[in-house]
Amino acid sequence: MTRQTFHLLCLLVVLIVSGCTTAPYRLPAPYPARPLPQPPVKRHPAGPGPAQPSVGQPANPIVADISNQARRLVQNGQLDTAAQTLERGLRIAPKNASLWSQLAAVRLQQQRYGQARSLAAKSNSLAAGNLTVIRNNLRIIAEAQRAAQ
Amino acid sequence: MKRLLLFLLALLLVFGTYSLRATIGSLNEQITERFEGQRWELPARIYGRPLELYAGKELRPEHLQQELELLHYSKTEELDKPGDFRRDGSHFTIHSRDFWFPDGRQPAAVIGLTITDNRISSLINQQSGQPLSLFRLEPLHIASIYPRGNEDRLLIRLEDTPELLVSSLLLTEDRKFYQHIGIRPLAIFRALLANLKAGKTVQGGSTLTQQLVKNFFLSSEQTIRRKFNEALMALLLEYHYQKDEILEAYLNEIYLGQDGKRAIHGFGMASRFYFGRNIDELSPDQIALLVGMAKGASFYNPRRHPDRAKARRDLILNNMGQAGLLAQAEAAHLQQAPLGVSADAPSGTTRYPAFVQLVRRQLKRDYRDKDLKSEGLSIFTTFDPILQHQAEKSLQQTLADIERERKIAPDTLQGAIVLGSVDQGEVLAVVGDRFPGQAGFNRALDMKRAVGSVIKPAVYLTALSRPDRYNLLTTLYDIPLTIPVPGNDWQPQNYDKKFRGPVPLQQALVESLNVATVQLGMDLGLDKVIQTLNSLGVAGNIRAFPSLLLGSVELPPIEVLQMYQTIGSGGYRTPLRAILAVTNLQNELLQRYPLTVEQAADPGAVFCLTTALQEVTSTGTGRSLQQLLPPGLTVAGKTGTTDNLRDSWFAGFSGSHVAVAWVGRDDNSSTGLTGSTGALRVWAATMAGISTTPLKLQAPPNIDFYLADTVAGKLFSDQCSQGKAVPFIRGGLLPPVISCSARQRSQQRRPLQGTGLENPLQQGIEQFLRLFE
Repeated sequence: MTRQTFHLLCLLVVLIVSGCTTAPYRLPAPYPARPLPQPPVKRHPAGPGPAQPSVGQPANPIVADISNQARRLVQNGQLDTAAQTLERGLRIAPKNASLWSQLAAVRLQQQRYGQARSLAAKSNSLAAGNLTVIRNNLRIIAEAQRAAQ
Repeated sequence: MKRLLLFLLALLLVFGTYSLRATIGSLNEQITERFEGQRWELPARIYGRPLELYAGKELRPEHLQQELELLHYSKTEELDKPGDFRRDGSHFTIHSRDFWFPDGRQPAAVIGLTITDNRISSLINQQSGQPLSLFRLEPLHIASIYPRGNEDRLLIRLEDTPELLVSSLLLTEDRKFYQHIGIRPLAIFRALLANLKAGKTVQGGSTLTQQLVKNFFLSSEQTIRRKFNEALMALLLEYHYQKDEILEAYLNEIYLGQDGKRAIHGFGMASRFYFGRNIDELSPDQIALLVGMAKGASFYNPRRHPDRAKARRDLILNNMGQAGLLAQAEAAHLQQAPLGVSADAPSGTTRYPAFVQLVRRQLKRDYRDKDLKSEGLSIFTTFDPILQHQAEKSLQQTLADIERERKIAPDTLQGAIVLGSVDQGEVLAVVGDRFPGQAGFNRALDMKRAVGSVIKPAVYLTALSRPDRYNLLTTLYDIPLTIPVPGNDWQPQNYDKKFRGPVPLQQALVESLNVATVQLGMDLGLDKVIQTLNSLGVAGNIRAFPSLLLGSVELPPIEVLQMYQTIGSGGYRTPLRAILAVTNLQNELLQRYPLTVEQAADPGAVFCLTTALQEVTSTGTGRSLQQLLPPGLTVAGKTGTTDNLRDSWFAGFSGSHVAVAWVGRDDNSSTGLTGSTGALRVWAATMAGISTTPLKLQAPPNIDFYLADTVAGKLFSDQCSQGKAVPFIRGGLLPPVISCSARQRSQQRRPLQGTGLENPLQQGIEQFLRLFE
């Protein structure tokens, strides 16, 4: 018996054994057509409860202030200061998708396309279904890609 | 009279000998050159982060008080000077200091803030009564980089110097300063007579200008020639420059103390050195002390010779009273006050050598040593003193506790901890020694040790990044395994030397199963795992040995921090930063170190990995965190233990902070500690002691959840109370689906989970797999 036939034989035996014991990982499965309704994420016994999707918009008044301040700076063409201000805001609200998106927009204006793309993608991963922010990010990514070519 | 004198002197100079003319020429050149250019080599000053204040910020009252004390704020009722504060329970009123930040100036202000339930509930401008949206305290000065002569000074401008200081200085040292021409021949003559009469020096006839010349240009030797040069240069200085310019130079030049090798020059620095305050914050008695010390800083050193210093101060106060600079009664009253000098001289060597080392390394890339030591740069860093102190305390206390509980000889364990912000990659605290003031071996940056299972997330992330083949419930085989290695085959073992058989991928990570991990890593390919490590931020050349999969690779804690930063921020790597900006002496921005991100892994894959790493801290090898952390503080992380219990690691993150802790011995001998009995405790004590946010996992768009039987590794086709939500990457491979009732049936047959190899199926699989090896 050659080595190859021996291996094939072994494989066959494994498959037969698997079949007999209904080892689940080998069987084709009828996948659900659609995702099941999303149940809550596992709850910590004394934990903070399920993760609340962030609305992506600056809910915190201080974040709103910073966001507006950055917007004014951008209008005045002070892009670098605007970026500094947004970074300050992100220190306060590091998971705020719209601040990340605003920073991406500033980088786009500064023609730092790689950063614009990465920051917009990061914003998307935090946007939790906020369509305005996601749309903005997709536009930034597309523009950055176009400009970089 | 004076003009005549000047004329005569000028005449003497004009008609003097050729050599005298040459001397004057050369002295003149010296003076203008030094006075026109940069007068002093100024140290670079390194600052920590400013404490941001805003309504809603999480801040414990004791931490605010600690910050104010580190900044040398004084607790007073009056609040009339910057640097004062008042505390009524959880209400603080702070008279902040004027400060130039890299993005502009923030003038001094009186602010009021209330802390309720460890959160700022209100923040107002006390003067206007209006609410303030955002305010920052000036940052803590944590270190300086000194010039060659080790002269430390903090430049002050004449207009910023308290009038009382200037007038009492002139009263004491040179009453006729604004009238004379640089020298006072009559005063010199009077002093000469008095000294001859007494047979020693009892009186000096020097003007402030002469004193400045002496310190600025000449050596301290007492020769006639030097005296002559001093007088000439004083005249020349007065000829070229305004009185105010000369006075300002004097205020900054004068020697006022010594701290080891570091020389304290100027009233600005002396004010910090003796009182921990800015010059404009001094009280009259403090001013009197500094003015008195101009006569002889060593002789009147208030820390070494307090009685002498007090007598001198009282004399000055008395003179101030008599001259009408102070009310007589106040002058008399102030003479009763203690010296008020801070007990310990603020050290010129930093209290935070481990962090400063990191800063200096990053600076070295962009700045010449010479510029750092002379240009008076301000370096703004990410350093957080509150976190640093907590990390230092946690390391020290936990190691002492462990030594006591386990009867280990005291002070023999060592440790390190590094702490950063998850999404910005800012390094916030670095502890490289359990006795952190020592500027010795920096274990946080320079110690390379095998990282053990702390590496495993890289293996699992490599798998989860291939959703067509792997998900959290993919079955792995934790069964005896032999890896052919040249010379000696390698048979990895689990920590408890037992095998678990088939086990879902998530469970293998949660329980830190070595054999299943090696099997997975070998299936994926070592090169793929190394690629993942590199993209997570582990730099350098990693050699492709199978033992890499169990963490034989040696890394310093700071590099592990980078790896976990990338995971903690959802797969977006931000190169760790310790410096944010550098400004020059004119407060102009020279350089900024902006926040940059780079996608290192698919956010969906990282999300699945993080779900498992969170499980590690609730039911896995890190479950003791449940008792050690405050309720509600969810985190994710991984333990690491190396062979013979040499190194104990824990790396992980909350919603806002990422930290890596290591415990071991310098001689690399066994500690008897695992990751969870050593480093995890240091990590937990640090996290429990700071304000940090719980980890709330937020699914990226490509994630769907399914109800699953996580033990059997199957999905339920219907709602099932026993199901757990498990994330999957959309479009990827999904596990088989069963109905809830089918699970109940299968529960009666024991699932393939246990400790031994008694199960015949398991033995069968094992035998067949061996045939392939």
